[in-house]
Parts: sequence; C-alpha cells; structure tokens
Amino acid sequence: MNIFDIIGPVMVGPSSSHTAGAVKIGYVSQKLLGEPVAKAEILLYGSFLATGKGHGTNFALVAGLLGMTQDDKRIPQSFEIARSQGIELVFGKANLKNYHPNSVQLNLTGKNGRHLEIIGESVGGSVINIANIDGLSANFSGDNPTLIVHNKDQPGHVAEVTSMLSHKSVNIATMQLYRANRGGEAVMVLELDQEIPQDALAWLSKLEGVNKVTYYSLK
Amino acid sequence: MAFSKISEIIKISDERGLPFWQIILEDDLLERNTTYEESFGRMKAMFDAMVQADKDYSADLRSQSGLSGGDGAKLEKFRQQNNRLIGDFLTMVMEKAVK
Repeated sequence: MNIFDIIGPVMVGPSSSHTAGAVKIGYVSQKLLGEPVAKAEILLYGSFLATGKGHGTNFALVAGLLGMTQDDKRIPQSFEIARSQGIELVFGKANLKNYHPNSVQLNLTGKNGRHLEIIGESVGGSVINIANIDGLSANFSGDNPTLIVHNKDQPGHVAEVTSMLSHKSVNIATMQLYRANRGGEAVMVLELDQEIPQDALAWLSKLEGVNKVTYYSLK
Repeated sequence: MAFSKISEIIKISDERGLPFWQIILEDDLLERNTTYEESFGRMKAMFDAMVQADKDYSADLRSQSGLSGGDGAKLEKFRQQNNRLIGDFLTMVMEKAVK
C-alpha cells in the first residue's frame, strides 16, 4: 500500500467503487486483451447490477474498455464513442455465485480475433481485483506489471517462467499458483517490479504445455 | 508503506528533525521507486483537484439518483452559527471535504 492508495483518486464521480473502480476494471481488461476491442459482453453482478444505473457503471466500464482513465471527462459519452469506433456492446446479468458484490464479467473479442473472459471486482476506493481469467482464478490489482500464464499442471513450468524472469532481471513482487484440478489446467499469476520484454513473452507462449500467456503492462 | 502506526512516523520526524510530510514522501520514493519531483508533483495535482472542486462547487449539483448533493452548502451555513462544539478550522475542513 502507498500514500496514493489513501489519498485520491481524482475521478469523475459519483462513486469511487461503482464508477472509478469500474473504469479501472475496463481499462485493465482491454490491456490484458492486448488488441483493440471489437466486441464486449458486459455482465453485471450483485450491487453493481442493482445500483449500476445511478452510478453510471456501464458508462464507466465502456470508458475503461476504450482506454480512458478514471478522471477522463468523456466518460459519460463512452457509449457514443464506442459506437463511432464500430465496437459491439452487449449488456446483461452475470451468472455468478458468491462473488464480491461489485463484480462484472467481461467477455471480450479483439479485432484480431483474440478472446478473453475476465471477472473483475471493485473493492472500494477505486481499488480493483481481477479475480478470474478464462475460468481460472487470478488475484491482482493492476498496480504492477502482471504476468498470467495458463499451462498444463505438470512439473517444470514454474521453473521455466521464473528462470526467464531471472534471465531478464525482472523481480517478482508476488506470485500465486492455482489449478482447476490436479494434472489439469493450472495458472500462475506473477506481479512484477519491472516490465517483461515482448520477445520473452513470445518465447513463453510457444513453450510446450503453455496454453495462454496474458500480460498486463503499465506502459 | 513502511509504517503501521502514526507514532512511528512522529518518532522518525523528531529524530531527524524533518516535517511529518517529508517522512511520508521519502517512504513513497522507496515504495514506488520514483523521484521527488514525480511524488511531490502527483500530490500537488491532488491538491489542485481539491481546490478546483471547491471552486466549482454549486449547492445545486445533484447525483444521478438525486439523493446526494447540497450538503457542502449546509455545512457552510453551519459554519456561520455560534453554538458549534468545534472550532472554525475543523468546521472549514469538513465543509471543504464535503464540497
């Protein structure tokens, strides 16, 4: 935690969790997709769904998906801007159980055909948590460069990732490992102190047993 | 952040003869690996936003639902009363915070 988690954010209101947090979820999600958004299915859950209209949550999410940050004055025009860019928007209710009351599921399709399903939570004060990517747990706030690797649950993959990071002098701030079931699909979520170069990401995604590499960059 | 108590910050401030805010700033430089100019500049931008919010305040502004708004004006009025429990400085802080 740092002082700017306590003081701030500077935002277009009205709500730091329902508006500013929603912008951030949209913003982090389009960066994770790694290409311009062609279609976005926005499914709200819990109190996001119940109070979203008054808080402008849908405007905020779309604004984030367009790359806007929480103090962008164009947030209320995000729907028109998305339409003018030919982006297809679908809104609905998420089919989730036991998630944080301020959760949204974003099913994104990129202009180059890449798919990503993200569940993001707005936990208050514009702090967010990306809780799920493509059906597997994650758990990061988008405050640091973050590497998410989906791989087959077998020995060796953690070492491949960590030795690549060591080789590129990238320090690991936090690291989490999850798996859907033993020997099935596994995921590594690493928050980093430095950015990973593009060539290292490309190398990683070609490894045998690595299914998908998703990267959130601060740049 | 390296502190878990205010007393820790005050202790360092006394020991080093530096103001409270500078101890926080030094911690921020380490925490986010940034420069004095970036940290101070970012805090200044926050302060400018607060000043601007106060300047742009109107008692008529309402939220989308219509439920929020107008409380800053109420506190401004309260500040003119004589029978308050708290002094003018704290009342002003409350008024500006709500605006």
